[in-house]
Amino acid sequence: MFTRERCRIRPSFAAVFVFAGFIVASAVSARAEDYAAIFGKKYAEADRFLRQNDWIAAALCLPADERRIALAVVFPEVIRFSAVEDAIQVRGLKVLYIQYGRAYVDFSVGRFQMKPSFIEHLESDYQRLFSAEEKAAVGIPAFERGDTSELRENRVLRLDDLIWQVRYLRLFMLVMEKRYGRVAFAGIEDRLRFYATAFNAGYASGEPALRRMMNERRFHTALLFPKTTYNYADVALFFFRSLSQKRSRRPSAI
Amino acid sequence: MRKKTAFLGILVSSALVLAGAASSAPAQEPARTVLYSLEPGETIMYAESLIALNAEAADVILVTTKSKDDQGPFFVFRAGTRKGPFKALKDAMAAAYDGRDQAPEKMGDCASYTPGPAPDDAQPTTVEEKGGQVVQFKGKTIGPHLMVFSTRVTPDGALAYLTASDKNKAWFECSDGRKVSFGGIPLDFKFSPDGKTAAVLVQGSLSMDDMEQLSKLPPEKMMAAYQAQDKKYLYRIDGNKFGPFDSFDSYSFWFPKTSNDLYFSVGDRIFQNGAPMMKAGSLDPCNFYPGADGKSYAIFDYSNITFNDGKKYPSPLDILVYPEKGKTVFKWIALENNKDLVVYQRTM
Repeated sequence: MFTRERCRIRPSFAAVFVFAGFIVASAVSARAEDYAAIFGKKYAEADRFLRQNDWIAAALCLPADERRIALAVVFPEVIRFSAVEDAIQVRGLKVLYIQYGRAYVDFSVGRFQMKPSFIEHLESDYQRLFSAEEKAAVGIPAFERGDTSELRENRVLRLDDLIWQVRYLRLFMLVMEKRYGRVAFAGIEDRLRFYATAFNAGYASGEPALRRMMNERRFHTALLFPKTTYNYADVALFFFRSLSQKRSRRPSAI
Repeated sequence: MRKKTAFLGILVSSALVLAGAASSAPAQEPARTVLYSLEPGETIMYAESLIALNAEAADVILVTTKSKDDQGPFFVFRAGTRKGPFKALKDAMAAAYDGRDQAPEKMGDCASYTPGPAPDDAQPTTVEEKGGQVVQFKGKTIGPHLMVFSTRVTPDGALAYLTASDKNKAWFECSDGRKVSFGGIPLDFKFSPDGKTAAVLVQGSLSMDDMEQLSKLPPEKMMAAYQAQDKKYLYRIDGNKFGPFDSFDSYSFWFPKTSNDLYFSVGDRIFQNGAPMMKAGSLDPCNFYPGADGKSYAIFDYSNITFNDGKKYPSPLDILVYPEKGKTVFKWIALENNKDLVVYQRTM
């Protein structure tokens, strides 16, 4: 995985036209918004968190470009976590999830704001799409199958653990490669925006739906009732570009 | 400090305190009050909701739906009355939170105390003066010291605490005049919810002068001194000293939100104000709810809430602990049989 050439651009003429539109749209919107200024202190805190915890980048065990995509994909969620951390009360929701399952309650947990339903999808796809050899190479054994309260509690305990959130982020990148590895992206920034949207909105929605959602403004840092919403993929792209600039200036784990 | 966010949620409040109290709880068994029973097909909208027990607000607000895809119809339960159906969620929200522009302060998910910020007009300043550094706070000058490490003010702005060091000793001081000195390096300090008691975590017992003299010691003594410097100690602002501890860090000591007692864990043992209290395995302070009486407590995990007398109940959605008439009241809210929202109250 991730050993072959990633940017295999073989778009049709029409696709080139469409993708060019995406690129222009994203470039314009990313240029238009200075998310570091918009989110201010929370952006700086999120940036500092990832730099101070450089073990996260290392623990992803991904090639450099994939690693930067993965970090950019979760970066808006890290901003949001910084913004709402003090007001979050999800312990009761975890109890409900354990007692009654995701059909009853779903909610975002932890630094990367991962939902139990998202994790259930990931675990299921990891089980389904990866051979025993691939799982051995990844180093994460198959997850227990079923929907008992004990399994749900184990899942919540994993979600409570940042090390496990990093593992799930890694699995997300690997599952995305499995599910969307044949999608012809217009470039690494297009792929980043696609992945970020998939992480935020649900990667199982399929390419057309994710392409549509890539332009929606649904991201905010309010607990409820946001006054302004932003495009999740653009916030991720803004951070991705800052990572690229940092990388060109000095070597780093990120 | 009230958060200005208008939380959508279940705000269970002092109304519940009164409701529970009206059930006249037996000494050890919890009083049980059904707040609301969901109709068939009706679910509480938790995704947008916050579940909280609170002693300040005065109502219960539920937003519910009878659809699986949140398309409505929606209902609102507030102040004992159910309203609806509402076709749009925003209409239900408006009905649910009519007249409210802020939510009451919340307990949060963690039972250990994290102070909020101090008022802007109660911020200490550290300045160079009298050949060292002094801290100025509300007209008082504390110091001078060779260096001031850290200052922190209680959320009510009444007291400031600081750590500092001179060549021959380090200090933990309070703006009310209390102070304790020690060898070693102050790493972190915490104060209680009422702001009146505090403790500092210290590494080692050597002063800066002592450290400079280490190089003059024979190698084996120097090695032993360096190893001793890895030990940790706790000092209370009143002068009590606890330790040495081998494996001890900032997470090992805390003040709970529900009392002003100092707790710390060493291995699998929990200490209360320095006295052994219990064995608790790997206790997370966030899940430990001691009463202000210093005797009763509850421990939360995702399966159960367990009391100091061994009684267990299914894990709640939220917990509130408060003193009342010399006893400790534990109040918690649970969803039973996927239908009844129930408040329990236990006085110990």
